Amino acid sequence: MKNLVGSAVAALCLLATPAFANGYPSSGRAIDQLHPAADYSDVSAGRPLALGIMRARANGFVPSPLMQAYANGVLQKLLRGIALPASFQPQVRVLASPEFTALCTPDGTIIVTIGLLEQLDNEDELAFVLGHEVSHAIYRHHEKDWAKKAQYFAVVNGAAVQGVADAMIATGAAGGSDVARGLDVAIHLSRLSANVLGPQMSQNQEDAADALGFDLMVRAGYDGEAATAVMDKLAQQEAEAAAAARAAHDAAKANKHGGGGFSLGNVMGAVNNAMSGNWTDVAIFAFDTYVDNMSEEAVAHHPAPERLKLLSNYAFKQYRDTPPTAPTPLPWAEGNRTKDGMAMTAMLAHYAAAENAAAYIADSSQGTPDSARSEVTRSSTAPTSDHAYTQYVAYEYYDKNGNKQQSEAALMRAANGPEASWEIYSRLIDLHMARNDFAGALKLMDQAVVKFEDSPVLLPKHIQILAASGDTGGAQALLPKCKSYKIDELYDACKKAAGSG
Amino acid sequence: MKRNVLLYALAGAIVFSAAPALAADDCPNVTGNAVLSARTPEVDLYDGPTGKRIKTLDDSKFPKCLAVTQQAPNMMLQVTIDGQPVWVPPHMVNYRLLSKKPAICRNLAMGGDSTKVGATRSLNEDCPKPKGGSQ
Repeated sequence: MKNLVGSAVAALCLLATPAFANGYPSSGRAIDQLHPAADYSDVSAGRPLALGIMRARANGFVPSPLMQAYANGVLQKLLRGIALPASFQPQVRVLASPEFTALCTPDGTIIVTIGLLEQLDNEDELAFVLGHEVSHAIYRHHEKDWAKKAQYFAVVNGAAVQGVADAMIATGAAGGSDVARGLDVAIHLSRLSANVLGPQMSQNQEDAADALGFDLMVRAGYDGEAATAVMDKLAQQEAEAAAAARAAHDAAKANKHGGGGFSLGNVMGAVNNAMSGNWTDVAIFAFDTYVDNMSEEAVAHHPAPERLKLLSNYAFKQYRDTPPTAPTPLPWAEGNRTKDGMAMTAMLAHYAAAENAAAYIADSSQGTPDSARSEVTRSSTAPTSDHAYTQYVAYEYYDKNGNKQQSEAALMRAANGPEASWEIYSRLIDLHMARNDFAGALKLMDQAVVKFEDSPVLLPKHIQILAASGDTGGAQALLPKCKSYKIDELYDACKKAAGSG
Repeated sequence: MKRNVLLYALAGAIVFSAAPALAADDCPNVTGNAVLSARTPEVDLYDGPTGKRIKTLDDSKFPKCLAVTQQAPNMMLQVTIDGQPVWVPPHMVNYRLLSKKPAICRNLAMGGDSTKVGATRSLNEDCPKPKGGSQ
């Protein structure tokens, strides 16, 4: 893992744009020096694979054509009049994930999260985020093996989530409330890491994207100070995250080298005093994996306060005479009573309710049974009655309360919806396997293989089904495929699933 | 909810690395939000959040530790210089915004219910709670 990251960082350094100091132009505006590639066909061809990787993360994309059309409209406004070849076809997709983050895949698909949309104050801020991300694609910042690395992160974190989920099923009520709670927190942590982990950009590339993103937004008539606001939000998140990550990492490190019994409660206690208790090895493994990934990935990123300093200097030099303007409200801003605005507002409200219910499921001190029930009920109705995110939360809520019928119904609603996630498929497969319905499990797996572009994330589960159904030959036959990805964690998980690990 | 924020913050650490903490003794005489100092070589002063530039101060002449009297939706900050209220672009100054901005109570209510409820995290926690349930 460390070697992979080290190589990635080294490669990114070599790729840094030479004409730009600190990623910014040494003089003039980035947009005036923009020379897009003549052809983006090669990266555009990778879109199905990129979408498959993203779709297998978190709870997939938010199936809202309205929200997508709105975000794409902002993106088109940014790029209007920019000479880009027809082969460059950027688009925006909304990921059902609560983190404040955005990313771009090599083909120009910009992924923004629900958590980001919720925390933006105006369209101008969204414009800066989209401008920044699309700049990465215009500049072709992604490494050639982006997909391979992205799959690596998906596999490693998918394995961690699955490991904890399996342990939860295995321990069940016999594990005791502390164990169950520990596993539950671990799975949420692992899932969060799976949501956001991915190949990172170098500092110079981030700066270059800040500069061009800023140019694009101001050129489109947005207020440049919105970029300052976005950087402030990033900085705030960084400050909180840094303290929590340091505490978690120190505690995990002390455990590794200190000997004796491990108390995940101590780790979490350092992060949040509310947690305590001794938990199982599986939770420890999942948490350690999470912390390792977190600390390694944090190494190369460019802190927001530094980025803001550079951006301020750029705005001062290049946009001094551009007067401040009033920001454009988001469609879901207070007071917007348009039909589209109300529809997007309603959808976001349901995601917010589901997030609150998820928080209660992970930690019952964050709500009451009544409030959680109310939020699950609310988020399970239209317009999100078949959304993977809201239904996964409903599944967890009902499952935790022993209501197996309702929990499976929630999964089925999502599976029949427009954007069922891998987690939905995975849990449904678990339910079929628990009933020894291997034919049903394999049928779901076949659907998933098509839907998620034959993602390697699916392989261990696929092998698990085959092995459990007695098709050991079929299970063994998939092992070379696992090995072909050259991801040790994947091969180990596959061997374990086949019963030979 | 705080714990929830921490979980998300932990995940955020993967993407965003450490930020330097604000020094605790920056402008201790100003309570609340403050413009600490100039960030850029010169600071432009405006007569409104979307108004006209009325004056420019060299960074050496820009006063330190000014109390922020208002913050506009576009983030412009109102301070008083030489007895005159003026607006400064935030990118031109170092500032400290201790208190949260007013909660953004998006109209997340459903089905014609005019009750405003917030989204899940810090921006909206001061918003009114929905009827018959919790936020």
